[in-house]
Amino acid sequence: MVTSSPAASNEGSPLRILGIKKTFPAANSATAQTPALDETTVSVAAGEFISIIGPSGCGKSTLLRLIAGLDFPDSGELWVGDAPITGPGAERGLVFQDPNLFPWLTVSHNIQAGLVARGVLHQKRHEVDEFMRLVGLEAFAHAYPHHLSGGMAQRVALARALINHPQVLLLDEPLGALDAFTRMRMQDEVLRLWQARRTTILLVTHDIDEAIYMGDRILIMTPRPGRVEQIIPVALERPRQRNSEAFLRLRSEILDLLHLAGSDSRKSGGGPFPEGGASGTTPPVPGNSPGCEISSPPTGGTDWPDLDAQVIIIGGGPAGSTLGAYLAQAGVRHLILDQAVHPRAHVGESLVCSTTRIFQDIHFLPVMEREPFVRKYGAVWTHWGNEQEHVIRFREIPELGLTQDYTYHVDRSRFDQLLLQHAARQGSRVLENARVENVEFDASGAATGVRVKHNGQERRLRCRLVVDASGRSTVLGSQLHLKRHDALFDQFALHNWFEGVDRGPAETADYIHIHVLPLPRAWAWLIPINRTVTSVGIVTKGADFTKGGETAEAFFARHVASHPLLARRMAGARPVQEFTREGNYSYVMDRFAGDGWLLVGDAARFVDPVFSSGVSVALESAKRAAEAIIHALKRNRVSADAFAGYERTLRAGVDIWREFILLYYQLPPLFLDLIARPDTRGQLTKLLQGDVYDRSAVPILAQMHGTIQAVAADQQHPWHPHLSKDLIPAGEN
Amino acid sequence: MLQTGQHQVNIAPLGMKEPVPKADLRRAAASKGRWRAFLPVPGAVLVALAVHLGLPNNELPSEAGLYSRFLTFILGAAVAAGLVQFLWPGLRRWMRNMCPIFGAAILTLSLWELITGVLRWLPLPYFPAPAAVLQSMVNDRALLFDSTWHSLLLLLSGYVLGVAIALITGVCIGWSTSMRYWGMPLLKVVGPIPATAWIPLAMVVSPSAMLSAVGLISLAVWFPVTMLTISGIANTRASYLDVARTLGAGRIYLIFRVAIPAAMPSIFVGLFMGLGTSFLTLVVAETVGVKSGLGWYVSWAQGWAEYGKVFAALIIMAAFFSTIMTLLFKLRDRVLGWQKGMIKW
Repeated sequence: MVTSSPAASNEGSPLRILGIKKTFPAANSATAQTPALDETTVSVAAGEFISIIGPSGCGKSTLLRLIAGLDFPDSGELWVGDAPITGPGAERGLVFQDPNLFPWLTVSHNIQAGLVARGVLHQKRHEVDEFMRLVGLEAFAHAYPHHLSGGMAQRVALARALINHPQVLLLDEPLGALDAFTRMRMQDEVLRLWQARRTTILLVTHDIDEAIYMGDRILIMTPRPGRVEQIIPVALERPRQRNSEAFLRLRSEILDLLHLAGSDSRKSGGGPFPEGGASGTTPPVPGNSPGCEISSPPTGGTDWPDLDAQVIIIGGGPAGSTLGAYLAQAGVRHLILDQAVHPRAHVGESLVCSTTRIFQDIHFLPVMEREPFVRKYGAVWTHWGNEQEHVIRFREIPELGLTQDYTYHVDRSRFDQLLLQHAARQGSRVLENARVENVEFDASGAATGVRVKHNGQERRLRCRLVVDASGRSTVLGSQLHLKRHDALFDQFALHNWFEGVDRGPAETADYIHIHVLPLPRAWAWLIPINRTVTSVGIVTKGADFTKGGETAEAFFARHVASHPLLARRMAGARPVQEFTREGNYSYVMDRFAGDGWLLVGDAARFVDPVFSSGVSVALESAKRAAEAIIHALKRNRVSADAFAGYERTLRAGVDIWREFILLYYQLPPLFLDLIARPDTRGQLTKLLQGDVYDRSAVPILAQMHGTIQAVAADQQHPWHPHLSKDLIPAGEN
Repeated sequence: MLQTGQHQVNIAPLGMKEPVPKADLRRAAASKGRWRAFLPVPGAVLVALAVHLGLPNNELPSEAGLYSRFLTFILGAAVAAGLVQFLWPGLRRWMRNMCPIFGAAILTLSLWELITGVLRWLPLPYFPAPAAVLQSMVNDRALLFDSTWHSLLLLLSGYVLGVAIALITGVCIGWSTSMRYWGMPLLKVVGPIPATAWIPLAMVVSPSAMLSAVGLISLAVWFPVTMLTISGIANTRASYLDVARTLGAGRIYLIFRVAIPAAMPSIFVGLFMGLGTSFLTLVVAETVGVKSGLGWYVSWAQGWAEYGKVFAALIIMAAFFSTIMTLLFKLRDRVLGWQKGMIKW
């Protein structure tokens, strides 16, 4: 019966439920009985996926427990294949809403529990690794359940049920407790497993969208007494589009059946969200089919298609594209306007590990894996005063929730283009070469749309919400005069791509290299872009560059020469293009959101990139903005207060980056010392992986602060000359 | 460290291990811990030595000399460790944590000497000075060692036997409803009787005093461990059992791989309670019946009015019991390592 490969097909069995009844003793009386299930008959084909939906108390879970054999019906029969159900058995797997992992067993031991219980561990031990890989948790084999996130624990629970190769898999709201994005990812994962193995699956859920997205048929149950009201076949092609018309029509039918249909959603034509306010009518968007590529509208003056959308995103960089992908998944109609035509160059070429989680959310990780981007397994720091390399390896501290111990170095022109194309494939409408002239506001100060120039034509686009993802162009921040420069980081960068750079020892050749230079706050980055090209940049205080009056080449060469190790590595390097300058680095906006508008990524805030935080900030802010926007549109409120939580989270996260960077610049030798020490390097590695959001305290930063104060107070301290004294007073606030 | 010539003046050590000028140590925050690790014990010993040698007391010269040597030895060891910790951060962390406590213990010793030997506030021979206690400990070391060994044997055999029986009864009663029906009333009636109350009966029934003591200690351990095993097993989350059943688990798996691991935290509470009652029962049993062990030694020394020996035995008992307690905590930390947020001993 059981084959060795988890991808074995046709493992499912038909299931027959014949006239079963079940009552439970009422809680408040010894004799009274509460009917839980009344006369239920269902027949399920082998390999079929059944969604069961209904209000609480309708007997959904009771039905699953009866099939699992954990309870027995008062009357009626249950059959799996040709065998009657007489008790629990390994051929019927059950996954609960709570993962119910055995807390005393590690992940791998939890997964092999079924093999141990059936006494077949010896023959099938190899399957444990296969199933761990199947759910992407091989890195966590030896972690205990309390270390896992909700989504990971649920994946372990799935693997634990699947390792027995059940013919019937019973899922009792297994995704109910997960956040929206993890949930969508898990739904796809369950579908993938089901399609690979054709197990018969019964899924209890209270989410209508999930029921439609997953099931071949939907069992609608009603309470008191619990019974099957109706069985609805879902005749939609897989993979299903959550925002397709047929999907939404089915959804409202089911809502009617459940007597839950809210008047709001039906008035607006069945869409999950209320439609655009001021613009009144919103015609259907053309070209919204799956697989839509980046489209340029026709240039003929009059027949420009109507591009009004619920959300307009200014900028198609990583923040805008990621936000677009998230909104597309949730079925929010939106439009991305990008000033450039991709591909176009950009700095910020090194990513941090936490971005992987977002790539997973928006299904972009396979694209990253397919592209020949250089994998970044860690970072190396050196100091101009000696030859020592301080190495941080991400694998030392597995970032929870991630299945890979590396991130990427990217050619930003390629990366940004791929991400934007991906958003378009997910359902984003993209208009390139469209310059936003300004954002329009109504009398009450709420944003109502944008004025955009495209191929010489000027046009107004209306929307409910404008999101500025324009990066360092800061379209909206400049228009509203929100921008404040961060005087502490008046930094300046000069960079180029080089061939023939010596990348040092083979083990760390693919790592990002940061070389600390003698001038205060000066450093160099070396980022491998591909096999031959390395991006090299010199960052100094702005004043140090402008006062010299040197050429870019001379300035660059002078700084490379000030670091003996760097100079040797760069000895045979040839620039492959012109030098590029980036000035006036850091700023923050007074507000990140207002009535009908929102800032994401660099458009909200930019901090010095010494720890490769740029793309991470863009992606994390886009993810959080997407959550806030989806929530706000559901509640039909896009005023500033709807985004207060978003602003708070983002501000707190970037504040930690800023604090970290500030402390780093105040005393570089301290940072190098801390990463050399086993007791502190872990905490720093986690920060460098991008673990700065949703944290209330960062002890290591407090420790750094304390040491810097002590060194500052002590004239004799050997590190004292390395202090950037001009940064210290601001460290107090 | 490689350095380029022109920058030599500004070069800073990148590690913390380079020696730092002594005068600055007090000021630099990172260096504070070194003195906290170094000073407490030598300071306390110097105070104790001053009290011991500088003030007139009623101690015998031989005792006084031994006690001085003892304090001097501690001083030497503390200074040596204090110097080593400047180079060894691991030791420093430990010392920074522990040395204030050691210092306080030595000061307490000194206070004891002040009250008994110097000021003579407490009547002799009931309250000897620490020097006399130390002397008794050294003189009677063979007998003390022998007594400790016997106590250990008695305690271990009684405890292990009691725990083994308790686990079996606990799992049976906790798992099976019919066992619970018959077992619980017995447990409720017999269990609460303090084990020491059985002593008169045990002496009559048992062929030897040693055996009756083992039985009494097991009985003392049995009740709390059984109760908490029952409660742990009976309160196993039903969903863990449901999950295991749907994975194809039989009864053996359910009991040994689900119920018992789930009950482990509760079982350990029982083991700690049982250990406490076993100490009590051990000392009482040794005092009234068995002719060896630390309990016997205390009452024997008291009979001869050698209170120095009584105190010596009490000190050894304290170290002995707390060592066993610590070992049990270590065992718990190993077995229950999977628990979230467990308090370490």
